[in-house]
Amino acid sequence: MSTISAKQKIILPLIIPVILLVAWEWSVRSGLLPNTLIASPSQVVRDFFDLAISGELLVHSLVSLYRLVLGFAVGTLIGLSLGVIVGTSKFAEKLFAPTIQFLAPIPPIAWIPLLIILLGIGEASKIGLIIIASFVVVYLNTVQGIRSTDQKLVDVAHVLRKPNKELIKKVLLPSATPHIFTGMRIALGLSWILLIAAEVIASSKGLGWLIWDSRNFSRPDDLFVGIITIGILGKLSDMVLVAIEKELTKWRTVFQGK
Amino acid sequence: MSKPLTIELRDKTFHDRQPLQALGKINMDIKAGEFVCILGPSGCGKSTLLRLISGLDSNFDGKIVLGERIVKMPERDCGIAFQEPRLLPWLSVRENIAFGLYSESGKSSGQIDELLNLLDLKQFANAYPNQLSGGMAQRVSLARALVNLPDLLLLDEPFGSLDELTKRRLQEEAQKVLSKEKTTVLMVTHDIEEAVYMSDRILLMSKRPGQILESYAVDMPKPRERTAQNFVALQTKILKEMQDKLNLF
Repeated sequence: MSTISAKQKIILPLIIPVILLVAWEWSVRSGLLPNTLIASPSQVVRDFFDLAISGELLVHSLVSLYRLVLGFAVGTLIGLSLGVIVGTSKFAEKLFAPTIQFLAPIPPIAWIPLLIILLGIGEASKIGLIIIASFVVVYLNTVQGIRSTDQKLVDVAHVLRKPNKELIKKVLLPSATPHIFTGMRIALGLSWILLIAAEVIASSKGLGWLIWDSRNFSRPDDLFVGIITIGILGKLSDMVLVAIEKELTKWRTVFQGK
Repeated sequence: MSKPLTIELRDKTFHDRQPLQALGKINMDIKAGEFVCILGPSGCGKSTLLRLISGLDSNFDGKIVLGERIVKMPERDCGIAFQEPRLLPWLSVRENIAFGLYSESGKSSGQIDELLNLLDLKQFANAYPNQLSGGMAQRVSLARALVNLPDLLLLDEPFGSLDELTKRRLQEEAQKVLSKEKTTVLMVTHDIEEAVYMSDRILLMSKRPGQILESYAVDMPKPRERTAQNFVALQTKILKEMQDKLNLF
């Protein structure tokens, strides 16, 4: 078994990005790529600081984050609650599951026109879209998680005459936690995709709009700043989820790779 | 407190893909405070019988009465230690034992400390189950069953995965606790020495479908001496009759 040294740990992840950046900078400077369409990394960095200092970037980021966090939180909450109810009760399963299973495979993008007709082109339709998408993914994974709980552990709670609330809190939810977090991470990624799509289609603020608008005004540097900001925020939001999951599942010993 | 147990079982058959008769006609009366052992070969339906008594499986033909109550579902007067530890992996050792209590109030923490001491688990009180050895996990499971001291305690090979020394010490400790509280106990095992050491009465169970073949009273004062003549004699007699009646080989 080989282990990697502390030095390698820092250097290894940087090799490919550095090669790509150097190649990119060189292609634009040498004229291989037209400078009016593609901005070089140095231009992008300069523009990033310009937009950050002027506050414009912050405004777009906050608008996008507001939509994302609100939609994701509400969708997750509904998905988690309904998932627990359907996961624990056969009655609720018969009542809800067929309808949700019919609606779940519809690509969330297909809802956009309907949502715009119903809710207008303002915040509600964008947040609504993210709610629908995160709800479906978190719901499916929660039900799956609850239903993969070891029956033997449920039996333990039964012979100890634990009330339903205790069974859910102490047995079913902890057992389903890894599944639930898998669902939440997929839902978060999907929420970013849909957020940008919705902002590109109809909005006047937000990171999606920044990208789309810069294309219209031939500002390739703005375009890259928008893309990179989405990348950074996307990664940060995922890291928050991973950190919470790690804390909640510290009882597990799992394979870490070698 | 302890309660008597009466079993009048006519039949227990599983209907999965093919019907499988696990238990046949079984009648037994266990007095309040009595310690009864069921000895039998693997797969004879011992664990199934305990599931029925605990109320986890009510799909059988017959009647089980604990105290005044006809058993239909799990109740708090009956505790069980399963064959495998079945600890909740996300709870620490202490929390797992506390899970055995009806209500986890502050008053009970002394009780848990006592059990942690008794079962030599003190240093591991805050460890998670996957940090424990098999024997340690088994002891935690035993502590969880004991913490409430039910009126009837069902033990499914609770010392099965322990090393010889730990097993003997735990048998002694468990006996002390149980006879002090006068709990009715029904223990399933395939260890003849363990049965003779711990119980007031030993029931020999047949191969599937399980039935009671023989009953032995163990009239020796506790704690017993494992090397005493009558101890060894009974052990040998049971072994001999098991070989004859079950003709396993």
